[in-house]
Amino acid sequence: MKCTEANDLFGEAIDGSVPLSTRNSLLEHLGRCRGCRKSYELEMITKAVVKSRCSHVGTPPEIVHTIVSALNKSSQSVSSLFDWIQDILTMDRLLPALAASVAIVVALVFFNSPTAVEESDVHTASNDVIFQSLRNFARFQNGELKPTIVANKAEDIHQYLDQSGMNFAIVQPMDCCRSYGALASEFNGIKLAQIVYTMSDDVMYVYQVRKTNVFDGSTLIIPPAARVALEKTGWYTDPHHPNCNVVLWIADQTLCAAVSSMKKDEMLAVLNRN
Amino acid sequence: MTRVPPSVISGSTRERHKEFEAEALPHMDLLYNFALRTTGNVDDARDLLQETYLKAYRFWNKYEKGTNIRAWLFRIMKNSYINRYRKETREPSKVDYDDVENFYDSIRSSSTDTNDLQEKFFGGLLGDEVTAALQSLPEEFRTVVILCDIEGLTYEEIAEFLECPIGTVRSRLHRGRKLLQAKLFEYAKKQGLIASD
Repeated sequence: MKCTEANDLFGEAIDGSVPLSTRNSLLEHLGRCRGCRKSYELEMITKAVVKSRCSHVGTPPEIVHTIVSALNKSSQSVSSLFDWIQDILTMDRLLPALAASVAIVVALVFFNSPTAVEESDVHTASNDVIFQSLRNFARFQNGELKPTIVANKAEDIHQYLDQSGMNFAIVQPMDCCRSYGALASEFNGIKLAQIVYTMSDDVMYVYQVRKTNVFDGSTLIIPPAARVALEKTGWYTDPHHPNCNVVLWIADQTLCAAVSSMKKDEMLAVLNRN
Repeated sequence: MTRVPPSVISGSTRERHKEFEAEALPHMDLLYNFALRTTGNVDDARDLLQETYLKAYRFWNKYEKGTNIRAWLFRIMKNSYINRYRKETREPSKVDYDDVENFYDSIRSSSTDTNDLQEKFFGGLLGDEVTAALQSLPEEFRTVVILCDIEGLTYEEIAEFLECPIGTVRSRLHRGRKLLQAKLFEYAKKQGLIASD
């Protein structure tokens, strides 16, 4: 056995995972070669030192408690919107006629209804897209604002928005999404598509509007920094919100603003994955 | 976000929660130890552990039943670490592997006996110094040394954790231990435990 071959076997020999015959050849070489023997012993000592000085420790009880509490909170952190959607889905399962349908659709049929327009006017205190997105997200969460339609397939939501004259709306099918909700509304004559993605424990709200309706600045606006970033890169993440995250992006001719309590990296991962 | 009292949590959520607790929580010690050795302090280890468990809980429906849950949880932790901590902290300085080989050759040819080294040098090292040396290793080497030498995982399981061939585990471990020896010698020289030629 050559020194290079012996060296390649040190780790496995120390960790006890070389066959007996190979081990014997190695030991024979070590008996003859002082340099290799020293290297072998050093590697063995290094392993022993690491094990003795950095021994496996149990998780401190206070940390176990923190984790378990966080998990319990997480299981309870279901928004009223989530409950509302779940209630509807549960009801649908109880109704044989609807249960047979692959798409669970609850349409309260507000197509072209003036009610939707009035509602959007009420909750748009400013013409800033990010302000409106944050405010609508909060109102969806506390149940003040409810989706007109809830479905378990993105296509159903897309069809609804399309029929409501919002052919610019983009509904992304997401693997992690349990149900989709949408509300078609207007702000000072500009059509707004509002989509809610409900995942296991999180909700993501996405506000969509034609890009030109924002970039001409006559009715809706975005902060200058957002505009610069969107024009340069197509993406903008708003840094000013401690309890939720806001991501804006341009897709074709549509400006999208997503708000969620998910962490920003997770949110971007979800958006980029789809 | 509005919190709802436990009484209104649906039966399926309760089942899911129970299942997650039974499957995932028993592996907390392994994850905590990895987090502790990787981040180097209890606070960051706690945060990383919590983030890992919350992510695992959120994506519990993505876990394939019957597969290696320790490997699944470990990969979530490793990705969380990469996303969260590696951006914030400075990368360990790059190691010139030629220097390590030179060091190694000098040790091989020196007249010092390994029994002496074990006693005088390694015996004088404290846990903090070994931890610091471990943390200064490049991530790929540090990970295999932690999993093998501290956690006692087999090469096969490490390969599954890292989704790489066993040969890669073997070579990273060998190199990682060599790098660690070089680092520890540096500490020993600074402390006068061995002569600094």
